[in-house]
Amino acid sequence: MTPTLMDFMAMLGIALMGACAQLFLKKASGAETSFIRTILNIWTISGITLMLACTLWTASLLRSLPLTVVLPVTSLIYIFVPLGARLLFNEKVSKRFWVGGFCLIVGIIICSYQ
Amino acid sequence: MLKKMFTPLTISLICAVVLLNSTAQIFLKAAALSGMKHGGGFMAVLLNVWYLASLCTLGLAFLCWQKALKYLPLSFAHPFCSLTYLFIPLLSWAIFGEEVSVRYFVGVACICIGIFLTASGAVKGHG
Repeated sequence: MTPTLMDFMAMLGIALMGACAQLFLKKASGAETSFIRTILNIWTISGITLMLACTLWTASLLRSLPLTVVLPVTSLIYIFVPLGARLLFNEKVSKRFWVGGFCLIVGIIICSYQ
Repeated sequence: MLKKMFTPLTISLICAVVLLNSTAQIFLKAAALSGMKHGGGFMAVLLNVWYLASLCTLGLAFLCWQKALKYLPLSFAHPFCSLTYLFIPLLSWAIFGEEVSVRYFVGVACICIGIFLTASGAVKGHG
């Protein structure tokens, strides 16, 4: 079944939300020193809430789309997270990353093109 | 250095993460299908046993992942997550009868290479 533009926007949204969740969790892991404080940290709680929201949103999409369509697009998270880390935590991304990002997008297009 | 990384423990942990993550996605699809049978609304999915199974499996995968990161650097371990993108189509084909063509696997191979490069070529900060 060919996904519609709305479906693509939804899958993009899931990837962005998932990336935010991972970045929040990363922020939490850096902020606190003790284990308990890390769990109760607002970033951890927000990160986990976002991840739950992602699973619900994905499940809702999976009602009308096959896994083989939804999963490739959500792999954009592998581009969003390092880029987000670059913006928020000043972490570096190498040339290798950009080559990988290009491969990823090519792969997604191949998988999505019906 | 490589020999130090590939111990039976680390190999088992990585395999566990890949298999658990793939299974979690399959459970999500099962939750979606089952939710549709029972009305199709959000609550039908949320309270679904398959959705809970998916969350438990994700939780287990997360624990295995955290354990693996005690022994392996992130930039080494993270690329292996791309293997879930190989397993899921095979499982969806076997369980849900979803269509997978040769072209699709070419796309999946590109995605796996892409994930391998982005995950190993990205962050050195926490790696």
